[in-house]
Amino acid sequence: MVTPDYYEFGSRAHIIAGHGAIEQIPGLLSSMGAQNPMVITDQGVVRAGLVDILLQALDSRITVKTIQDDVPADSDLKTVHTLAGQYRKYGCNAIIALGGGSVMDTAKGVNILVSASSDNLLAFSGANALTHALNPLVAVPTTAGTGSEVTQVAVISDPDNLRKLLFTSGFLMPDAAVLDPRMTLTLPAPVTASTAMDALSHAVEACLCMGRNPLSTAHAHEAIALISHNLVPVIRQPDHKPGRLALATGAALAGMAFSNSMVGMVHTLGHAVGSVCHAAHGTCMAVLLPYGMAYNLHKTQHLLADLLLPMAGADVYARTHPAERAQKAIDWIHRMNQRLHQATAGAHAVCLRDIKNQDGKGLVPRHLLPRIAHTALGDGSIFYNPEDLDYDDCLMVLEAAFDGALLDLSRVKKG
Amino acid sequence: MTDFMEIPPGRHYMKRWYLSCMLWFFGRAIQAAARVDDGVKSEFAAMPDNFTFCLGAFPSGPYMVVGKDARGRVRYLGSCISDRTIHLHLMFKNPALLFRVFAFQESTSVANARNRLYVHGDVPQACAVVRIMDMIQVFLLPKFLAKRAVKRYPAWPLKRRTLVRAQVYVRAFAGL
Amino acid sequence: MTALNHFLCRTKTAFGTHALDHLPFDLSGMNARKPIVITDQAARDAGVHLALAGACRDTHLALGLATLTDAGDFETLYHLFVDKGYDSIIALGTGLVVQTAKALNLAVCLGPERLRSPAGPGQIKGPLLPLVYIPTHPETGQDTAGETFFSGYCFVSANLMPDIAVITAETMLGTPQAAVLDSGLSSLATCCEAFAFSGNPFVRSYADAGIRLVMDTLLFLAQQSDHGDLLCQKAGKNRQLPLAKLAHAAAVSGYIQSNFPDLKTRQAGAHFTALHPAPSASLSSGLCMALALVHLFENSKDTCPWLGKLLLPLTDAAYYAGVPGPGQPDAAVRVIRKLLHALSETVPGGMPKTLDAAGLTPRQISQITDLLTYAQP
Repeated sequence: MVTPDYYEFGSRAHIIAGHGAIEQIPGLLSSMGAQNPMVITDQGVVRAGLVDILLQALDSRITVKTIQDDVPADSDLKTVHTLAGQYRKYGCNAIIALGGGSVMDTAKGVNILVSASSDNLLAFSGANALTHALNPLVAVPTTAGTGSEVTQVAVISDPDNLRKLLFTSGFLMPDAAVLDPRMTLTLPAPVTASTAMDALSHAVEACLCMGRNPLSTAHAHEAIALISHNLVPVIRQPDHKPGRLALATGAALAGMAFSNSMVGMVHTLGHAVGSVCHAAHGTCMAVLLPYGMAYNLHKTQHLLADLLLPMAGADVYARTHPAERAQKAIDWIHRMNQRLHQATAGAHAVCLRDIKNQDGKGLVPRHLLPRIAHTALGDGSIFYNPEDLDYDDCLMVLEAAFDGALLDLSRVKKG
Repeated sequence: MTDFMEIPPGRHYMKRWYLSCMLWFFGRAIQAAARVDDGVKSEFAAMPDNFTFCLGAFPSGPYMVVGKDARGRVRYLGSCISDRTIHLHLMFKNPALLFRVFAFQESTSVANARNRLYVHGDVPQACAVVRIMDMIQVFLLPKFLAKRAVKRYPAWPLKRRTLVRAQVYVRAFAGL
Repeated sequence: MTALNHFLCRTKTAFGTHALDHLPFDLSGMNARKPIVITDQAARDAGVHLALAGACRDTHLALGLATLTDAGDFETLYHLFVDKGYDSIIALGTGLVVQTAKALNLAVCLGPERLRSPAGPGQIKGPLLPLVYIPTHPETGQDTAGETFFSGYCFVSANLMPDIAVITAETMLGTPQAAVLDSGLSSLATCCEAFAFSGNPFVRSYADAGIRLVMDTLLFLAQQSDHGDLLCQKAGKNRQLPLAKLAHAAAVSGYIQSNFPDLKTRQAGAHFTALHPAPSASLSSGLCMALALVHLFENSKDTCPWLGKLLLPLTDAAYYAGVPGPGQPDAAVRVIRKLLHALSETVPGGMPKTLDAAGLTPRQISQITDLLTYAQP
């Protein structure tokens, strides 16, 4: 086992995972002395009937003071300030965040303002600007992908100044992450596929990037095994509760892994595609993951080879020659994308060209690749990637991923 | 009986002096490279005018402040952060950790991966500053040291490796 | 996966070179401006506190250093803390140092009267003051667990887990072989049992890392160990990092104890300690736990859900994948037996290979083996 010279690992959220997990929320909130939560969610979650399920699970110990369901797809400053006002108006003393990554980030932002009795979120941006514990926050994810329920980071956009604000502090970690398979049962197959591949990309990058460590790798390997063995069965049988729970647990494990080891170029490029073309984050991750692995192959061969075991199982691992295991792990991701493409009747994209909006229109035109490559250079995750990336490198990978072609490894610069 | 004593924080005078010298020269080298090297110029070109950043250590330095003025000229602005607005802080969590980087015991990218530094400010601009720092290290250091300081040693053309490097050195010493 | 899994680890682990240098920044992030350091005479004599003081240079962070000289110091310590206005605690050491630090935290946050009656889970509400744990040698996991024993009472709460565990070679003291074996085998038994019997993936992930850390270091340390009492000297350069890794494994086993309190091998170890309070290299609570682990696995090979998979952290991916599935449980037990045998060779006079050979009466053995059954895996 290779131990890095220095690493940190921590995840303070109380995780409750299982069938009936949301029924534990009243006890949790009571133990924290909070009986009057605000529920923060979005319209999609309301339409899926998940707010009703949550409310039914809360007993007489809890009085939900208000349900705020106007969180946009990208959390922003205005929403955070509005919701903080509502929190105060209704006299809430805790937050239940029910939704995906944007809802979680919004809830964290609101919690900063109401806990610090402030009206200026900007004063808390950056690292370690918070110095006191926040009010109780319970995170209930409704997708199995982002892992935001176990991270101490919030990203909130400031559209007036065309920037995204990053908030990092141990106090931002939710007090509890409640993973209940009922919250993901109604997810459509393409969303299930892309969010699970997002979680898989967290786990894979956690194993490869420069911040990897024994604890993050152990969490990531467990996550990879859970996702690999359950994703296709869940796509085929969406109401399979154990499979849904396995995916939610895998996503949380991957979240714990990557928030301690950070992520690399798959996220660097994926964030840029999402930012320039407004493509869904999970879809970008799914397409770019095998390319990120291939680009770093020369520096992470032994780590990639180890991934084949949780991905494909002991039989495949044992049958594969040691020198071919790393490449086989990359091929396995390509093949997983193909299987998901078939299982979702073509809705799951296997290359950037295939990423489409609801009207079937391509979201990532080829002529935007240079702009995406340029944007990628401003993403902080670039520094955690094992191999360096400049503009030409980004463009080369994007062009290969655009057509779904294999990456020409002879063009990868090795310093 | 419990034995009790108080330990005042104390100071590493030699390390602070060494860091101050290194940061002084590094800041002047950034100013010099921004005049003569196209790569550094293009990174600064993407930053807004009147933009100031600092590299330093928590909680009280030492610091190096570099800014781009209203006319777009890049200048080394000294080691004091209290008398001006700083738009971007690149901070190591302890002067001892900054020392490791400037004593070539650890590269910036490895220090970053080990969570030894943090950024206060705009992330894309922080990325640009780190790329500038990497280029300056390649200019200033002999190859065997620079290879330890950057993730991938670049394959620069001969002119950049020789003539531009010499100009950076001369201008950094002369403060031009 | 079982129906409902809970997991809570409040502690951030910071491991490795220059880990102490991160501490002033981390303390400021917890609003801790004035920490008191609690340590013991061995660490003080070895000058370990100087490494901590060195990390605080140039940071405006003054430290109060309280050295425990006997167990009756608590009241003095409490008044020192309150009168001088400290706001956080650094436990530099293990065992009594950490128990005292946790008790002090309870006393200053909830009042000294809180220590006059025991507290079970859920009875200690609200966050306590920041507590940093810096071990000076590997221990058996109690330091990072959410519990403490003080004045004859037991206090259990996740709030008692340290906020940060700083584990670094710089603070490792020379450790006698008996303590190395006790710590390593205790951590191994805790992590292996949790890995093999827990359906909780969060527990199993920590256990996986803990097992690998022990397998990476224990035999080397046992072979290199000094047999005498070296607690008052810093460890030699070649042993510092492995000792830190073993201390890391012990910290992980503490996190696991807090999330899997029904560990059979720990109960067996506690029972054994009551019978044999003074451990030696050839007879310790850790060794009893390891022997109990083998006994537990031998008797539950068919019902233990992840015994075969345990072979993976005990060895490596290539070895694990090379053993056919049905043979993996036996192979895992063989690896543990082989390790115990190799460790035994490093101890003058050897170590007992079974509980029968550990000098216990048949009744005592029967009391221990009765503990080693899982009603429902």
